[in-house]
Amino acid sequence: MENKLKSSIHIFLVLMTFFFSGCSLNVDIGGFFFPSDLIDSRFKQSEQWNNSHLFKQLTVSSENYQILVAGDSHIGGFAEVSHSEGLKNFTKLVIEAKKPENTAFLIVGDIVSGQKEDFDSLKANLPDYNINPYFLLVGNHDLYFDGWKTFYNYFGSSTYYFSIKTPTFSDLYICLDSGSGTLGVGQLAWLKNVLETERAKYRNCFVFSHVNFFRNRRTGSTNPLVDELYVLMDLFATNRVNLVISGHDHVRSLNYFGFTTYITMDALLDANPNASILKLTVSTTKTSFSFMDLKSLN
Amino acid sequence: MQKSKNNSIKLMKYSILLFFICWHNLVYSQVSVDTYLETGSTNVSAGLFGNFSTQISALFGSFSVSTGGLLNFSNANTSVFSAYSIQAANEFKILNLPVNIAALYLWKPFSADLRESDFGLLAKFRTKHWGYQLGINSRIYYFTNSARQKYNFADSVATSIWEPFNLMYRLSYYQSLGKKWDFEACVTNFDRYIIEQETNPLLQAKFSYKLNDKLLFYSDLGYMQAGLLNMRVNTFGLFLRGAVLWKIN
Repeated sequence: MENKLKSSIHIFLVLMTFFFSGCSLNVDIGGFFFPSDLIDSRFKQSEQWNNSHLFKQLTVSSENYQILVAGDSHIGGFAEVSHSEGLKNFTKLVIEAKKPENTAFLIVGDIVSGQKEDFDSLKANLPDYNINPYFLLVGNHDLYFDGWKTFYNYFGSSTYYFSIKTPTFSDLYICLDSGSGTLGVGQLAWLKNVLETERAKYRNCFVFSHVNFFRNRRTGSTNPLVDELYVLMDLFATNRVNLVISGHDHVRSLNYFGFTTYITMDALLDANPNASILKLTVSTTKTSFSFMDLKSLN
Repeated sequence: MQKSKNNSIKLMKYSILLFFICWHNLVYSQVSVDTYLETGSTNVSAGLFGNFSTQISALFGSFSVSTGGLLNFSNANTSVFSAYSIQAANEFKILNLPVNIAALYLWKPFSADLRESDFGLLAKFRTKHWGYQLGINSRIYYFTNSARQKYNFADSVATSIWEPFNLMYRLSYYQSLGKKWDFEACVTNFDRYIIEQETNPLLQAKFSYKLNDKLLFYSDLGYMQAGLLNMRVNTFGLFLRGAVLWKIN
C-alpha cells in the first residue's frame, strides 16, 4: 500500500511537470537548460541600440487619440510549425491599425514562434512604420530558436520608451522585455530611473510587458517571481502608472489596484475563438479602453 | 465611559487567562527555537542582502504551533521587519501513514504602502529517503490603510488583488551522511517566508549536523530561477543560510 502510494506520488509529480510546461511542438526545449540569450545581455544590446537611436515621439494634432494593442499572434504556429499560421488575425489587426483614427499599434510579445522564417512573415506583413507606427515587444516564443538575433536585427531594442504628444500634453509609453520571466538587474534599474526622472513630465504613463503579473486562474504560464512583483507593484503605485498591459496567458483578465489597472490580453492567435484587440482611447479628461472582438471584424 | 472601562477590564481578564493557558501549555510542551542568518543576492536586492530570522515552535503531542519573524537588510528594502509567519499543525493517520497537516499564515510588509497576506494548507509526508509536501495557498496584495488615506482613494477604487489558488509543493530527497550528518536536496516553490507561484520552482540543498539531542546546526544553499516554464531559464538569485535549531526542553 505504502509503495503504491509512493509510486503514485512520483508519477503525479512527473506528470505535473509536463502539465505545467504547457508543452506544444513548436517550442525550443533547449531553453529549459541553456537559453541562447539571457535577459541581462539582451538589455545591454537594447541599451546600445537606444543610445544610437533617437527616442521616438509621435505627435497628434488632436487632444484625443487612440492606439491599438494586441499580443500573442504566434506567427509560425503555436502547436505546430506553419509559417503562415497566425497571419489571419494579424492581418485583421494591421487593417484596423491602418484606419486614420488609430495613431499607432503595439504587440506585447509572442508575435512569432522564434524561427527566422516567422520573423520574415511578420516583417512582410507589417505596414510602413512612417505611415502606421508600431511598437513590438519580445515574448518568450519570439526568443525560441535563437530568435533574439533576428528580432534585434530586424527591429532593434526590446526595452525602450516613446511618447505621444497632443497639442497640450504628452503621454509616456514604456515597453519592457519580460520574455525571460524576469526583467533582470539592468532593466529593472533602467525602469526605476525612467519612472523617477521622466514620469513627472507626462500626463499618463502606460507600461507594456509580455509576461502578465497576476494569477487570476490556474495556468502553466509563468509570472515574474514574487520578489520582483513586490518591486514592480510598488514602483507602479508610487509613480501612478495608469495601465500595465500584458499578454502571455492568452486569456483576458483585469486587475484594478489603486491608480493602476493591470490588463492581460486575449491571444491574437488564429485558433483563439475569443481573440481580441484592445483599443486604448486617451482624451483630455480620461483614459479608457475597450476590446474589439476579432470575430466581428472581416 | 463606564462601558469602555468594563470592556478594558474584560479584555485584560481574557488576556491574563490566555497568557496562563499558553504558559501552562508551554511548560508541558517541547519548545524549540530555530534561528538563521542568511545572505544572498537576487535580481531585485540591489546587491547583497542579509536576513535574520527566529522561529519559535511548541509541540504538544501530535499538535504543534510555530511562529517567526524575518528581518531583512538590503539596499532595496524600505523596512527592516519584512515578514511574519504563524503555523499550526497536527499529525493524522491517512491510509495508515503519518501525514502532518498544517494551516499557515504569512504576512509581508513589502513596501511602505503595500502588504501581502497568504493563507494556506499544507500536507507533509516523509519516508526514509523521500519527503513530499503538497498544499494550496491563497494570496492577497493590498494597500495599507495609511496608503489609502495618503492617496485619497475613493471608495470605488480597488485596493487589493486576490489570487485565489496557488499550489505549494516540495519534493525532497534525504540522505544520511553518518551518525551526525544529514543531507537534503529539494525542489519546491516555497520557503520559510516566501511562497512563489507554482510555476516558479527553486532548488535547495541542506546539510545538517546534530551536535547532541538539543542542538542541530544546518546550512541551506538555495537557487532561484525565473522563466523555467517560459523555457528561457535565467538566474534570479542565490542564498546561503546558516542556522541553529535549539530544543529547549
